[in-house]
Amino acid sequence: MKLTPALTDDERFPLLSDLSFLKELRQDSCGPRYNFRSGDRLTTECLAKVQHYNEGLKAKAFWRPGEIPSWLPAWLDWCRSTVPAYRNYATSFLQNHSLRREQIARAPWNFVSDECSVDDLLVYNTSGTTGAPMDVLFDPVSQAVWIPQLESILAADDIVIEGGAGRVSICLVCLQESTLTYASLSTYLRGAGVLKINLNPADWNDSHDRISYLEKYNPEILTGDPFTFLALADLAPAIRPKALISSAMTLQTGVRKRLEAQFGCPVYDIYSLTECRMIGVSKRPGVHRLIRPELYVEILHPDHDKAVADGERGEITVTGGINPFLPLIRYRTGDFASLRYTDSMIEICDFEGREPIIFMTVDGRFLNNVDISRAMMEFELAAFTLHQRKDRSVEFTGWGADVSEAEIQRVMQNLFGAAVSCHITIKTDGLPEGKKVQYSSEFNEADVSV
Amino acid sequence: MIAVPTISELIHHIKRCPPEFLAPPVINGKGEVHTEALANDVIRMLSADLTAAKALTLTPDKRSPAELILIQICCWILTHTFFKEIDNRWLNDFLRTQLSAIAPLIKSELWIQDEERAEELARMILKCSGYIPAGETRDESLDRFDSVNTIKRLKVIEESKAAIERAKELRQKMAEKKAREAANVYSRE
Repeated sequence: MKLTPALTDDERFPLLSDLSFLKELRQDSCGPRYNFRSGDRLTTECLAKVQHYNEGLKAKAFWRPGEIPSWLPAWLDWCRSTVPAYRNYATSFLQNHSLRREQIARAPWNFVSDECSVDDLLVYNTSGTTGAPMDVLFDPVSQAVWIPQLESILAADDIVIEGGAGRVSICLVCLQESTLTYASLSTYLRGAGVLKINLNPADWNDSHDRISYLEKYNPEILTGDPFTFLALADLAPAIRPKALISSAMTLQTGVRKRLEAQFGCPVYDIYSLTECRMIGVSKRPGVHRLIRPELYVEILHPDHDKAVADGERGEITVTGGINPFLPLIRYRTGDFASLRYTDSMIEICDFEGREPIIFMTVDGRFLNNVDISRAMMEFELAAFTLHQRKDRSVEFTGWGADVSEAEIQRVMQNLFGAAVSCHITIKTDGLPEGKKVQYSSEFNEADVSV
Repeated sequence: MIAVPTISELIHHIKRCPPEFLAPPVINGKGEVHTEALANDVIRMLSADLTAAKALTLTPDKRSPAELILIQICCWILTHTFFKEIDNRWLNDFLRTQLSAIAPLIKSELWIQDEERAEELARMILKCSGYIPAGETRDESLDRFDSVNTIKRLKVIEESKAAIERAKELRQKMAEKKAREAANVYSRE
């Protein structure tokens, strides 16, 4: 990992005076070898904003079909007067053109409101599972509101996160070659533990510690992607989470059923983006209920900035959010679906965003595509596609000027194993339309094991 | 029917301003032109009442030489026949308050020598008089005034300077370790 901690624990948790539980989580004899430190960095003022946001989530109403939300005109005015990239935007919302990821990636600082203090700036580099890598700017508040958003989802099923010191409330479980891992706390959840762990045995002193550590702290909520959860199910720790929160790729029905049966709790499939965090939640395939009244969702035609007819499929486009370092106006997500209004909610239907893709190393281990995306960051590729056949051979096509087949071959061997059979093509023209990173594979979830 | 001049006609008139109008104004007893007296003479001429009492008090000692010279140049512009035909109630306020901000920004002689500054002055004075230059619509005239407006131009420069500084500051901060040690991540996106 390139990152090294730059703060003290006091800076990471300005409002928490007792950090003994944090030390316990870090120093537990069966704990992983954590490679990073993190905090929520919430000050009194920040915490008040998170709590205020929580109240707003309960109180605010969603917009109605054919209407734009009541908050939007004033919010657009605020963007026009304080955000450099939006200075020339029209006062009428629908007259404004849509925004694409590449525009933000080129100059993210242009999307920061003048009202933001640079001291609150946080940077998250997304490796780009579905697009080119980019720096996403945000602040501690826009990060922490993930928890009230989650609470609002769980509240619909009468599930409550207890929180409080001495209890692990959230555990983000990963299964990657390498990723940042840490034990942390949540100020909003009154000092409860927050873990980010990697199930890769290389991260642990003893591979059985993965089970012991989880069983000891029995997290209230587990978050992760479907494959990681399947790997966790194989490990079968005796834990009783209140809910599993699956994200990053589509959760298939079979996987959901298996996880629900094994862990005895509901499994929620979250549709979220690094650029705006959570958008919707799904409890049945292909249908995501919108959960944020302050994030307006439109379905735009792929080729022009007009909404498609009611019920038709188009590109999911979002406006609003709570991040003053990246307020979004008509931001195209790159995902396609239709929108349906019912009496009580708004739903994203026919969603085809991130089909789960399974890659296998030559020796039969599951390879997370986030590892591939991260490895590709060293090259300046405008786009690439990667397909794996059942015989575990891979076909790679990249678009870029300064990359050689030999370099890609080296990376593929690092990822898939030295014996991997690769067919590599490098192109400089004919850039594909749509997503800049496309993965496909002939493997499926039945092939996954840790 | 009042014949409003075209902008080029008014620019031509400005460029013919006699050098005497640019002579140093009298401030604290020193200088050549009594600006206040000159302005009041012009007002009397426009109202065709040469014996009228002083209508405008400028207190020149409290104004900058640049502003007083610009008032003097405007006195020349007001000798154009157009201003004799219109109601000039706007004039006192114009001379007293509308020139102080812009005058120090431009070297006095440029109002006459430089085509664009002459146009700015012509457009400013017509706008304040409430008339639109001949051959232009209201929107066109406002647009063209915007394009030569010194105060607006400097404001844009000022704003873009500030924007560049801000972007630089954010980029520096983005590179710092503290910002890169982002807050807790709770789920995968």
